[in-house]
This record gives sequence, structure tokens and C-alpha cells, in this order.
Amino acid sequence: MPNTFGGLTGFQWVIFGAALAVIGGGIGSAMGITYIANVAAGILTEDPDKFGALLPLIAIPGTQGIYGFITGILVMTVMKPGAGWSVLSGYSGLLIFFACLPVAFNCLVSAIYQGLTASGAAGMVAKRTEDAGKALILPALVETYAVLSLITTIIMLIVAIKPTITV
Amino acid sequence: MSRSAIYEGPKSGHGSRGRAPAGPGRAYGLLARYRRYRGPLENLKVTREPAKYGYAVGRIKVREMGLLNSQRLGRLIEADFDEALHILEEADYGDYLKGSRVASDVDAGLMRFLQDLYELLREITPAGSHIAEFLLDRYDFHNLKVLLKQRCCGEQNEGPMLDLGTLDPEALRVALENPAKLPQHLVGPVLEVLALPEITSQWVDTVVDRHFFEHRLVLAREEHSGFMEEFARTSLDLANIKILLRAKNLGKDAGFLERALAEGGRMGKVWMAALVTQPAEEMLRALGGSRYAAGLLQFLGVEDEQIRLTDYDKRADDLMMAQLHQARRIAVGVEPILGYIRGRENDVAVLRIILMGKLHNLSPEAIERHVRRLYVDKERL
Repeated sequence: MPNTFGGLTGFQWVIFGAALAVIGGGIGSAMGITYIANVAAGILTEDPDKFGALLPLIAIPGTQGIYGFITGILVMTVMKPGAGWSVLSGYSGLLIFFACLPVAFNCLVSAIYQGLTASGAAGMVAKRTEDAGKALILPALVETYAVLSLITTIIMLIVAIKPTITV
Repeated sequence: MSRSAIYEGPKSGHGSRGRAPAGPGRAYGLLARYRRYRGPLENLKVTREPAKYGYAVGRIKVREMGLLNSQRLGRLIEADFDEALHILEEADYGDYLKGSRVASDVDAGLMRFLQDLYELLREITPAGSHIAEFLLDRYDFHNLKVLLKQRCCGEQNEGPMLDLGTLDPEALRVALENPAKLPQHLVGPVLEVLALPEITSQWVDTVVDRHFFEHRLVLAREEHSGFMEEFARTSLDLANIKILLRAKNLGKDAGFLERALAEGGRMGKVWMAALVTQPAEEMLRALGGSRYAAGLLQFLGVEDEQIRLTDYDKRADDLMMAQLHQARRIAVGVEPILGYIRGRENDVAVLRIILMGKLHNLSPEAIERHVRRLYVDKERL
């Protein structure tokens, strides 16, 4: 029987963390895309020719969902001990769970705010299609912090946690 | 700044300070509900508004390009009538005014434009939003005034009813025969007018206008929009100030004002009513401590105890437009919609002034003096 931490086995902690990362990123992206897609739908109703200029703005809040998905895949495949999940201690599982949190929370919030920023930027495109490049820069700045959270999560998983599960 | 702050004059005190809004019971119920839920709803506003109004804002962001701007306005003022019609083709108004030759053509064209504008508003307004009602209700109240004057005062020449509101004018005429069939917000003014000891045209205007301003404030609160509430309060205050100034010129007493002034503005009703007993200079000085001193009240003068109201309407409109400019800083929400529709209505008023001026051979300078501030122009005023 593997030891537990807080009543959960290492595998249960890992599942918890991976699920949280995917859920956080997914919810954030879904909300962010909804916001910008609503505005874009209104603009495209009036001027369908702006589809190409608006598409990057609509897509950009979707990246956080991808980061959450990457984290989930990473945790469930790369983090799996050679002897199987049953050898993973509860404490090690807890560390993996904590490593998932930067992506889970940061991607949830940043995707929502990126959608809001993109909605404002879409107003620029509505008036001047040639400003689409400038408009994309604004929500892209919000992306920085989602990327940083993904990098942090990966570093935490690989540098800090991987050695503990191979002992 | 507290939203419930009521200006009742400087601390030294003028007249009664006791205030307790005594509006309709329904308004109180809604207000209490609004206050109870406002905290959590306000917290969610940042994410609620884009989902609710995103589509509508997208539609109007594109159409905002057709609004009048200062450059077009300058060309319009300098142009002759035919050139002006040609310039307007750049700003969405051309199709409506094409071929206009006389004043009735211009009026009909602008009316068709407003009908299409309000059709767009109804189309893009999301379910559960009060913005269309907030913007169009005034036509219902206008039609109600026309009908009440025809019925109670025997007046037949109070101008036509306008088919621009939320209610069909003919349906309103039928419903007026049985006030129980009227929408809830129109029952109050009708019953109040019918209960007057002597029904005059002036009292019909006074009572219906008061109910209109109070109802619009209730709608703004139901929408949970601080911007709409501020807009409703400011327009209510400006209407109250105008009533007060005209009452002073006509020698009315405080009792009249307590029945005529609307509740819910930034300036206390009881305090305002008490001002009418003071000399005109004193009254203007007391009002000068309010937020409306700059840009409006400072331009009013007194001559033989009569307050000159020249330009009051224009300056009040400009003040409202200055407030609406803040809507342009909000990316998504009910605010840009309110700003756009009011901006278009303002454009229509400006176009009417310009084109009628051209038809009557007024000089560009004379026309410019009457032109209102534009929604997309921050430089004027």
C-alpha cells in the first residue's frame, strides 16, 4: 500500500493537480474567447471583411487552455514513475499537485482578462483594419503571465519533483 | 464619491434639509432590491457585461465611424444646402436625406433615420437589458402627454404623436380609455393627472415629465449601471433646475415646486423648492455651489428679478454630451451603446439645425451658434 498524505495517495494528488490545471485553463479560455467572440460577431455582422484581422484576437485567449492541457499531459505521462503510479508517495503526489497550481490559477484569470483586453482591442480593428497589428499587441502582453506560469510549472515538475519520485 | 450623495446647498444651510424621497412604492421596492444585490453584482460586472453586451458593442463600434465629427461639421456649416446633402452621404445620413428640398423632407428623412436607429437598438439589445426602454421611453411619455391633453384639455394641436417609443401610439390611445390596461409605469402619471382639481396643459406636462424622469432612474438602477444612473440623475437635475428657474420667473411658490420637481437627483427636492422664495441673485448663488455651476449656471444672468434662460437648453445638452464622452473610454458594456444612440440623436438634432438654417438662408456664423456639442468631438464647448 502506498503511503498517503492528507488522506490521498500520490496518484490521487497527481490526478487532482492535472485536472485542476486543465479545468482552470479551459474555463479561462472558454470565458475569454466568449467575450471577444461576442464583440467580433457584432463587428463581422457589420463588416465581414474584417474576419482575417479579428481571428488572431479571437484565438489568443485560447492559449491558456492549451497550457493547461500541456500541463495535464506532462503530469500524467512524464511524471509517471517507472514502476507505476502505485510507488508514488503521498508527499511526492502533493508536490506535483502544487506544481500544477501556477497554471491552474494563472491561466484561469489571465485568459478571462485577455478576452476582455481583446474585446477592447477589437474596437480598434472595427474602426481601422490597418491597426490590427497594434491591437494584437495589447492582449499579447497579458499572455506573458500565462507563459511564465507554464514555465514555472514545468520547472517545478522537472527540477524539484522528478528526483523525488525516482528515489 | 457616494452615489447617494444629495446636494442640498452649502453647509451653512438654505431651507429645509429634511429629505426622504417619496417616489412611487414600486420605485422604492426596486431601489431596495438594487441596494441589496448591488455589491456582488458590481463585483461580477467586469465579466458579466462583455458577455451580455459584446455583440451589441461590436455592431456599434463599426457604425460609430458614421457619426458626425468636427471636420464634417465644419464643412456642413460652410456648405450650401445641396453640398451639405452631398457631404452627409459620407456619414450614413445621405440616403435618408437624398432629394430633400423643403423642411418637411428633412424632418421626414431624419425621422426615418431615427426609426432605423431604434430598430437597430431593439435588435442588438440582449434579453434582460433595460437600455432600449431607457432610451425610448421618453417617446411613450411624450405620446401620453399628447393624448392626455387631447382628452382632458381639449387640445388638438399639441404636435403629432411619435411612433418611436416602446408602445404603439394607437395602442396607447386605446389603453388610455382603461388605465388598468396601461403599462405599470404609465398608470401613475395618468391617475395623478386625472386626480388634479384643474387639469391644464402645463400640469399635464409637469406631472408626466416628473414621472418620466423618476421612471428612467428606476430603469437605470434595475440595469445596475452606475453610468446610466448618473446619466438619468443628471438629466433629472437639469430638468429640475429649469423648472425652478422658470417657476421663479413666473412667481410660483414652493408648494408648486414640491409637486413639480422630480425625486432622485443630486440636488434635494425640498431644498430646491425652498430656493424659489429667495431673490433671484441669491437663488443662483445657492445653486452655484452645485456640480452644474461650471458650464451652465455661471452663464445665467438676472435682469429685473427675471432669470435669462437664453441658451439654457443648448448648454444643458452640451453638459449631457460631455458626460456621455466618458462612455467612449469603456470598451464593452451598456455605456458605449447608450453613448452611441445618444450621439446619433444628437447628430440628428445638429443636422436639423444646420439644414433648416440653410433652407432659411441663415449665415454659417448664425448656424454655428446654435449647434450642439458632438459625441465624437471633445474640443468644443
